[in-house]
Amino acid sequence: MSDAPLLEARGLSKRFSVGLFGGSRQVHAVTEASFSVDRGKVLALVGESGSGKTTTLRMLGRLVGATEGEILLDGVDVLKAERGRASLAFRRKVQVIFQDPFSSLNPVRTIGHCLERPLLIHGHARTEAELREGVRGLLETVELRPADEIAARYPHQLSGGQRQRVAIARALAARPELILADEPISMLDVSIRMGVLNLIERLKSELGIAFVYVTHDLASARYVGDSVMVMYAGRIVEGGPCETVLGERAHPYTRLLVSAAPDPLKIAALGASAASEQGAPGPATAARRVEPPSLIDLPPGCPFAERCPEAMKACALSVPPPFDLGGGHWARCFLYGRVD
Amino acid sequence: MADTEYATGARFFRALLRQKKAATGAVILLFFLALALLAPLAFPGDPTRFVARQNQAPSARHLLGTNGQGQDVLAQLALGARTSLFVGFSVGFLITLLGLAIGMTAGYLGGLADGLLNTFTNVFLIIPALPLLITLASFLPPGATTVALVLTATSWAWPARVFRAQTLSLREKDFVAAALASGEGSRRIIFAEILPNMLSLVVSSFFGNVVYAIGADVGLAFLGFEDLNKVSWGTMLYWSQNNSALLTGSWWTFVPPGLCVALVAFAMTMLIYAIDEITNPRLRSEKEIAGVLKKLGLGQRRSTPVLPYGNER
Ligand SMILES: Nc1ncnc2c1ncn2[C@@H]1O[C@H](COP(=O)(O)OP(=O)(O)OP(=O)(O)O)[C@@H](O)[C@H]1O
Ligand SMILES: [Mg+2]
Repeated sequence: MSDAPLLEARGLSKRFSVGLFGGSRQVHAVTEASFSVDRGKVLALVGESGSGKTTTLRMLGRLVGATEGEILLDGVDVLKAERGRASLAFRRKVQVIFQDPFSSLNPVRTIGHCLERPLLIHGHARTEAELREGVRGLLETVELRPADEIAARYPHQLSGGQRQRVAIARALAARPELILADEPISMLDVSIRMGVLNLIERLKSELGIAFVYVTHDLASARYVGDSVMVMYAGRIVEGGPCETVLGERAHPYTRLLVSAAPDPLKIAALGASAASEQGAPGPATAARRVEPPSLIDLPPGCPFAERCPEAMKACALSVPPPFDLGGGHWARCFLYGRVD
Repeated sequence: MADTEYATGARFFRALLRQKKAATGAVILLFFLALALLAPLAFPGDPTRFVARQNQAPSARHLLGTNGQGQDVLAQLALGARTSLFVGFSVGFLITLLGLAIGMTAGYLGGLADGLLNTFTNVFLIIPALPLLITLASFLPPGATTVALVLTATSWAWPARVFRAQTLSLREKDFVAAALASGEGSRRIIFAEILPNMLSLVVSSFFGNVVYAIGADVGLAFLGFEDLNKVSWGTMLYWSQNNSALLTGSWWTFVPPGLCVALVAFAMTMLIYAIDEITNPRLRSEKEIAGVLKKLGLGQRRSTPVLPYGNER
């Protein structure tokens, strides 16, 4: 248990075949994502809709196979070590929380049942009494009380926020080291978002669980994230410590993203940024109106080039490699270096 | 997510019992089940024995008269219910089971397995069932087992398709991905996570299959492809036709069995409608609107009927 990262992705790509008859056309949902997640830290992944955040997360959680690349968990290349199905050991260490709490809980099962299953599967409880104790403990951890009453309910008898807490409790049941959270607050009412974010904070500091937190909302990324990665058209274009990245905004796309958010650096703006999703135009509307590039025919150069105010000749020719900006901060942009 | 609210077993059946349609269907069905169960007590002895002169009209001694062979029609009707319902329910059950096994496996596994199973299903779907039914029935030794096998083999494909489609859509739900992420195995995901969410579809498909099986069984018997010494509603119709009941005007030999088949089918269809209504929010809300309109004295508004699965054969 050194400072080696908990999880590392190397050149992770995902292409979906689309079209009739298996399709010759391919959607490049994620292209060559490389990053690492440190123990007990929150890595935020931000990007606009369709940029490949969910696909990246599902690859990490081994819910979809990667087309290319490696996933190293504790230094072991899990895609090579366990071909096909993920092992139970992997499932125990890495858990997933989904975006829509209305579809992530089975409508025909009680909350208690849905928490008992992972306890049983991973051998954390065996007898009836242990199970009941385990379920109660999990519900208390996510601040759902009275625990016994909640456990007897069905998902449709809970509010969205309560359901999302149940989903978090289910992830905790395995006693994971890493939780992959896909926009866990985006479907929740604005008034209860903070509660869920604070819960994530608490789980990180008290239980030492690492998170990959996916969002399109910069304020919450900044609030919970230790480091952040910005994704555009399937590529991670900038990454580094949260304050540095959102403060310096090295990549032109990050600048656009930050300027488009109403007040991205204040957590109080959480609600406001939710409102802007409904279509209230941000300051950078002119640039925003340009469609992101087609993921089917990727341009040979930087995917952001045609929207980029700083675009140079080189940008259209090849994809910029990640340039180191110091302090763990990097950006894939020719503003910061050249390739010869 | 039409099924969400009523998907749990107990709640589903409670909701079902509150329905007028369901109650009608259930009462008729229970009547016939009781008839079948109690028949040997009420009509002891061989129903094929000669009891009185041929083709006698209903009388106090023989409530439904006698048929062309001087057999008691009522005794045959009651004892025949046993055969017909037994074949109907067991074949309905087999069809549903086979359809579930093949459809859900294909839908859940996807990929190559789905491709193969789906092709297999489609082949069975396009084979014209009736000729195959008659061919098979005439080559195999007559008897209830043959009928059951033949009917199952020729009719599992449609339910399999329906279940596959439903599985395909449920498989994409996040709760399935969540179960996978929790470390659940495929078998549990199929049977404990996905299947309970298709409960209403499975139950109404089962009723539809029973109706089909009873009808097909009667049809095969009527055409003479069954063991004609065995008493069933189908063989009753066969003998009635064989003895030219229509010409002799002895309606009591064919109306009762025909009516029984129709009533059972009606009861099942009522149940299917009821299930459809409680699991389909659109129909449910239409009913509520109709109720409100009625209270306001505005009368009823007819909407486009939605055919439940089972009427599509
Ligand atoms: N199963 C699939 N088949 C084909 N294309 C897919 C599939 N899943 C995702 N994609 C495509 O991959 C791209 C990335 O999708 P993804 O869901 O990862 O985006 P996202 O960043 O999570 O977006 P959002 O913020 O809307 O959730 C999209 O263009 C999407 O259409
Ligand atoms: Mg997404």
